Parts: sequence; structure tokens; C-alpha cells
Amino acid sequence: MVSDLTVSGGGTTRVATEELSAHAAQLRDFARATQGVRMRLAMLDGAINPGLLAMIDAPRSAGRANEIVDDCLPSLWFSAVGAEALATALDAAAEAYGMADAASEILLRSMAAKLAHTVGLLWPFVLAASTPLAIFAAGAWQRASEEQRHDALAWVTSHRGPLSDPRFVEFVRLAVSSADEFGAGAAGSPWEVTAVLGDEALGILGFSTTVATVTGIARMTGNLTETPVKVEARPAQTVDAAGSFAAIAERVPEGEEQIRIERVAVPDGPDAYFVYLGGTRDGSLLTGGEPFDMASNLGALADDSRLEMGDAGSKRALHAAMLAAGIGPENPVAFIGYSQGAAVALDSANDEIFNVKAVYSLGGPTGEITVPDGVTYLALEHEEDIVPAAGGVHRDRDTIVVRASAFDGEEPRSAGPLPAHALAEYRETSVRLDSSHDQRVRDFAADLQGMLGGATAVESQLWHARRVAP
Amino acid sequence: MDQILELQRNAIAHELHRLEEAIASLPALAHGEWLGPAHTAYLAWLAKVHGDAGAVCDRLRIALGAARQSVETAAGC
Repeated sequence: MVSDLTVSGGGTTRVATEELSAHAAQLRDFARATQGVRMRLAMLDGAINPGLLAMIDAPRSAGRANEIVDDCLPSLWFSAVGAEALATALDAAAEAYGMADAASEILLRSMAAKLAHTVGLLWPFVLAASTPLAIFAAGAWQRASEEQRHDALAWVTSHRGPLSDPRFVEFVRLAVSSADEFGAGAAGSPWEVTAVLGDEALGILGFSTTVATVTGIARMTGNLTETPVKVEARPAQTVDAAGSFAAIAERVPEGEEQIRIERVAVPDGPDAYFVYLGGTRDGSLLTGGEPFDMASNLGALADDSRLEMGDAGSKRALHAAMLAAGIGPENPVAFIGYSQGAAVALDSANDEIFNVKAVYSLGGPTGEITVPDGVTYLALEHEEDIVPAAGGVHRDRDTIVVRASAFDGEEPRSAGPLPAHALAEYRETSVRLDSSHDQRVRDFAADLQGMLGGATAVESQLWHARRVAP
Repeated sequence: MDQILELQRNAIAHELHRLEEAIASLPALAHGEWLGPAHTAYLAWLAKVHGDAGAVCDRLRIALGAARQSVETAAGC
């Protein structure tokens, strides 16, 4: 069984499951069809009237048919109005659903923030109790052979169930969004001061500040360091234009190349570009040759902070590739990013170097990243995927958040410790997005189609980025 | 005369076919089946505020039944 898609955000409090949206759309289609039948029968009734039938000496059955048609017009009118009323009731149900959902989210976030602050105040005791264990675990990992590390990861994979439990995923989402309150508590800041400095008030403290602080500390120990990057283009080729969510998801690069740029030739204006970004290639804390690594992951999440961290390697690689591809501030750009690629894409949209119109995220940890005005943003997330949850709660009310179960109670198809985060699973879910009846999803799809402007072919080019020695 | 009667008969039969198609495309909700429990709770809340969606369903079914039967009869005349 394929589970429902749940759509929220898009500037409204409405939360609609695909079932509600589909029923409302069907009822409105029915109302239009019934009104059409009624209008045409009314015209027939007017054209072939009793006077005409009497004049041509028509049989009684024709007169009877004429009377019955006349009688059924009010029933048809009421059927159309009734269907419209039901569709409106479903919309109102979606609004009520959304308001209840938003209220519970505010309550949960508030409770989580206070709890995190309290735990932060107790941090010296927690630190004292947990430091020996942490030191022992870190030491064991450092001393472990490749085989032992592989065995440890295999153990995590074989016990991956809790990591993909939607309840645990929601817990992580709230915990991440409360990281700044925890930090303020650990620093001894009173709750009242923390609340004023936090995201909801002055925005001096916040998720990005916490990530920037952690990244800065890691850099002092030689981890997560940044380097210059270089990009190299592969030969361009002409391919079919990707005109659906499914086709777009298929274009996300996953091999050696991390970036794909597709140019749509526009006869009467600047060319449009679809820019695809893959996910994290290297999960190590130590920086190597791969710019789509953990240093870039945290760099992209910290970029919203007021602390100066410098741009992530993957973001600099993206900008270098886009400029080399000839993309200027006049060219409309749509970003499609998977995982880290989504965070880098949204982060780049904030720089306002390029004319970004839309961002489509597949499992991106982007909840706490600012969505700039004028950019439409759709975030597709699996309920069992911990990676988008690691980006915190979506603070931007205009973000269209689409959630779906990747497995729906069945055994995960993808291997690895986080099967719900697999790109293959997001490609499957993108297929379902194409048949969504939700107006917000349809409008987003129309925006992307508008950028294609009816083009059937595009020029596609893959780009490989690598880190180089400073 | 035959042409006018033929026109009337064809037009009614055609509209009957369209109406049947429209009825077949209606969601289960309009046929009296309810959505899942989560939605039922919100529809119940709506019933208090905006009137009973179930009653709208019932009236819609009655009106549809009458319209369908009328057009069927007219097509058979």
C-alpha cells in the first residue's frame, strides 16, 4: 500500500493530505460537469419548447421529455451547489487540521526549548558524568581497525529501526531546534534572556549560531577545515527536458560528479537554468579532496549565523560551476538539491548572486535556513528520515512541506543505516508528487514548467568539484 | 419534424451520458462513505460550526438521484 502525501505551509495554515485534496478536486470537477449538463439541457429546453413541439405536431413522448427536462434542472443545480459545498467543507477541514497542527507545534517547541534550557543549566553535572564515557568511546573508535569500524557500522545498520522511527525523527527535529536554548543554558544564561536573544525574538542566538560555534571549535582541533576548490566540466549533451517531479529527481547527480547544470534556451529573453546538486559524498570529519563533505554540510547550516565562517566548499564549487556555465544575475535559476545539495542550494539563494526562482529539496536539512523573498521552496521529506529532521523545524511559513512515509510499515528496500534518506526512495516519492491534487504543489510544478517555457530539449552538463591544497 | 425530435433525443442521451460519467467520478465521500478517522474528527468539528457535511452529502445524493432518474426517463421518452 502507498501512503498519503501530507502537504503543509505555502503561506497558509492549511494541512492537507492527498486524500482530502483529491476529494475536493473531484467534487469541484463534478460541480463543473453538472453545471455544464444543466446549462445545455436548459438551452435545449428553451430551443425545443412546447410551442415548437405543438407546431410540428410532435408525439406526446417528445412533450413529456421536454417537461421532465424542465423539472430536473433545479435538481442538477442543487447537485452542483451541494458538491461545491462539500469541497468547501473539505478545505475548511484542512484549515482546521492545519491550525491544530500549528498550535501543537508551537506548544511542543516551547516545551522543548524550556526543557533544553534546563538540561543546559545542568550541563556541568551531565558533562562530569558523561565525559569519561565519551573519551573512552572516542578513543576506542580512533584505535579501531578498518574491519572493526566496518563491523560497528554493520551493527548500526542491522539495528537501524529506531533511527528510522518517525517518533525518534520528530524528537530529533525538536531537539535540533532547541540546540541554542541548550547552549544558552549551559552558558548560564537565564531563561528570560535566552528567549529574547533566540530565533523568535532578536535572532542573535539560534540554530545556525550553535552550528557555527560547534564548527569553529572543531576547526580549532583540525577537523572540518575549509580549503579552496576547483571545478571541471564534463562534455555537454542535449537531452529531453525534465518536465515532471519524477524526471527532475532522476537528474540529481550521484556518481563522481556532484553538480548538473541544464540550460533552457529562451528565444525572447535570457536563458533559464536548472541546477541539480547531489548529497554528501564523504562523511568524515577530516577534510580530504571531496567538497561535498561534512565540513561543507555544517558550513551550509552555519551560514545563516552572524558569525563569519566563510562559505562552504560545496557552495563555492557550485558558484564556480554556475559562473563558468555562463549563468548571470539575469538568468532565472531553479535549484534541485538532495540532502546537503538542498542546504547549499537554499543557502546560495540567500546570497542573491543569482536570480533564483525556485528550490526543490529532496531530504534536505533546511528547516532553519532562511528562505529569501521571491523564492518558492518545496521540501519533500520522508517521515522516517532523520536527515531533514537534523535541519530543525521549518520556520518559514511559505515553505511548502510535503511529508510521506517511505516504507509505510514495509521492509525498507534501500540498504545502509538510513534507508529512508536514500535518493532512490526520494525518486519513488517524487513520482507520487506528480499526481498530487494539492494546489500548492501544482502551482510549484507550474512555476518549474513556466521556466521550461515549452522547451522539449535542454543542454545538460555535469560538473566535478574537488578540494585543492591552500 | 423528425430532425427536431432526433436532435432532442440525441442531446438528452448525450447529457445523460455526461451526467453518468460525472457521477462515476465522484469520490466515495459523496456516495455516503466517510474519510479516515483523522479527517472525520475535523469534519465532525465542522458540523458544529458550518452545519453537517453529512447532511449536505445526503441532500446531494437525493438531488442527484432525482436528476439522474429524470434525465434517464426523458432519454427514454
